[in-house]
Parts: sequence; structure tokens; C-alpha cells
Amino acid sequence: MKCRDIQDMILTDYLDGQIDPKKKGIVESHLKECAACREFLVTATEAVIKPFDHSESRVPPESIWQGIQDVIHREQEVEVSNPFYDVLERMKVLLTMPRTMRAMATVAVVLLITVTLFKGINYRQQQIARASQEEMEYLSYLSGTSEMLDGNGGYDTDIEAYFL
Amino acid sequence: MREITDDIIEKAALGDEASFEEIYRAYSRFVYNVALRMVREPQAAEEVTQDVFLVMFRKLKTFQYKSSLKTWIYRITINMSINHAKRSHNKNREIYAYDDARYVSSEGNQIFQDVDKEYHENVIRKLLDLLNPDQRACIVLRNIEGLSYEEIAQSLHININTVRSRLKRAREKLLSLRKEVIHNEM
Repeated sequence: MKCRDIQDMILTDYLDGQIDPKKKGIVESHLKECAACREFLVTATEAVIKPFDHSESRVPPESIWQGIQDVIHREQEVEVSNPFYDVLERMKVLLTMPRTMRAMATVAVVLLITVTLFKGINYRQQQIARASQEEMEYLSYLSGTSEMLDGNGGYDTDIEAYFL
Repeated sequence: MREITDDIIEKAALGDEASFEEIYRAYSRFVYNVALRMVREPQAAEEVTQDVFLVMFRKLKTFQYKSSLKTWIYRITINMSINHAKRSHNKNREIYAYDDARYVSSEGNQIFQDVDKEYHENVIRKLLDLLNPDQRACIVLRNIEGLSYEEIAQSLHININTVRSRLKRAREKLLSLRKEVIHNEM
């Protein structure tokens, strides 16, 4: 492995202790033989690891929690006083949902509307067809050529064949 | 840090303030310190911390347990800190005083300790100032908060190799600064 690859590994996984044992072995056996990479390790440790060793963890000021509480209380008051708060919140969720989810929801709604409309139209056409068939039967009855129409002029049954 | 159980999360999601305060007490230090490193100004860090917990409070109802609460909080913190840092990136690169920030209480010779701490803080601040917000986030999470590459990848929603490359580029910048400083001193 070239020095450049070893130095890349030193700069990330090796210095951070995130390197897997196999790669660690490769880096360490290279370091035993390469003075330049040994020097790079020392310099990198000094420049990119040690400065952060002394970082201080700070305690957040108590005023932050007080601020959070104030906002929560204000929001809860609005929630109680506004009967439409729940509906508005749900609408807000809809508006703030990711674009893909919103697109999918829109497609689902459009599909639902299309299917409902199609079913409605179909039902209406069936009703019209049934009504006109009944009318035809009634007219045939009045004109004395009474035949219960079934598309080919008869019932196509054994009893019908017997009488005919 | 007290472990936050699912029971506490559920109660907090239903609006129980005491449960939410437990979550706040467990994670506020992490959130505040990451924000402080990312946005530099204590006042801005306080605003980011407050916003992170308000977003959490509002969104706890929809928390899916797909990720751990810890990862979820890390992600919100980093996103909000990076957004804030990007907004102010290049706008104001002056060094801010950490006058309002509180050190962890310590005993002994306070004056010398404070001077020492101030020096180290100044160094860290200047080094972080060299990096863009994405690189800074990786350095803060790894070098200061001690997160693993896996945790950083989850928090930033990026590939683990992207974590590596951001860390590498950030550290190359720090190394080139060191070379520059040594060259100028000679």
C-alpha cells in the first residue's frame, strides 16, 4: 500500500480508533518501516486531535428551559381556547409533510374521486338501460306482441321449446 | 444521564411536561454544546437549543421509534445547527466572546484555570472557523462529542464514507494551517 493511502487511513479511521483490526495491522506494519508516515502520524495527532482534547462541556443556562416552558404553556392555552385547533394542526401536518408523501396522498385522492365518479356514471347508465328495457316490454305488451325480451326474442328454456 | 424509557417518551408525547423535562435534562447539554460549537455565539446557541426542544415537543406525537430517541435528537440538533451556521456563514466571521457561556464548575486556582481554558477555547474556535458547516459538524461530533462514525452517519443522514471524506478534508485543512503557521514562524 502506498504512503498516501496509509496517511488517508491515519487521518480518519486510525486516529479515531474506528479502524478494523486487519487494516490496523497493515497501517502498523507500514509505520514500522516508513519514517515519513511515522512523522505524519505525530504531526496529525498534534494538529487535528490534541487541540480538541481540552474542549469544555458547558452547562446550558436555565433560562433555556424557562423559555421552552413559556412557549409550551402559550401553545397549550391556544389549544384549549380554540375549538378548531385540532383540525388546523392536522392541516398543518398535511402541509408540512414531505413532498413525496404529499404527492402520493394527492394521487390517492384523485384515484378515489375517479373511481367514485366512474362507478356513479356506470350505475346511472345501468339505470337508464333498465328503464328503457322496461318501457319496450310495456309497449310490446300494449301492441299485443308480448314477448319478454331477452335479446334474442325468447327465454331459451325447455318449457318454451315445448310450447313452441 | 438517566435513561429515557419508552414510557417517558409516550407520556411526553401526550403533553406531560414533567416527562418532557426529563428528556430535556438528559439531552440539553449535548444539544447546547453542539449548537455552541456550530453557531459560535452563546445567544444563538441558546435559541437553537430552545428551537430543537420545541420541535421535539411538537413532533414527539409522530416519533416512530424507527431510530433511537438519541439519534433523532442528534439529527434535529445537527440539522438546525447547520442551517443556522449556513445562514451566518461568511456573513460574520469575527471571533465572538464566550462571555455568557458557563464553564463547568471547578475548584482550585480559578484564575489560572480560566486563562488556560480561555486559551484552549480560543484555539478550538479558530480551528472550527476554518471549516464549512458540514465539515465542522463532523469534527464537533467526532472530536468533541465522541460519536462513532456510524452515529455521525445516522445523525447527519449521510453515508459512512461521506463521514470519512468530510473528516479527511476537514483535517487536511487543519494540517495545512499548521504547516502555514510553522512556515510563518520560520
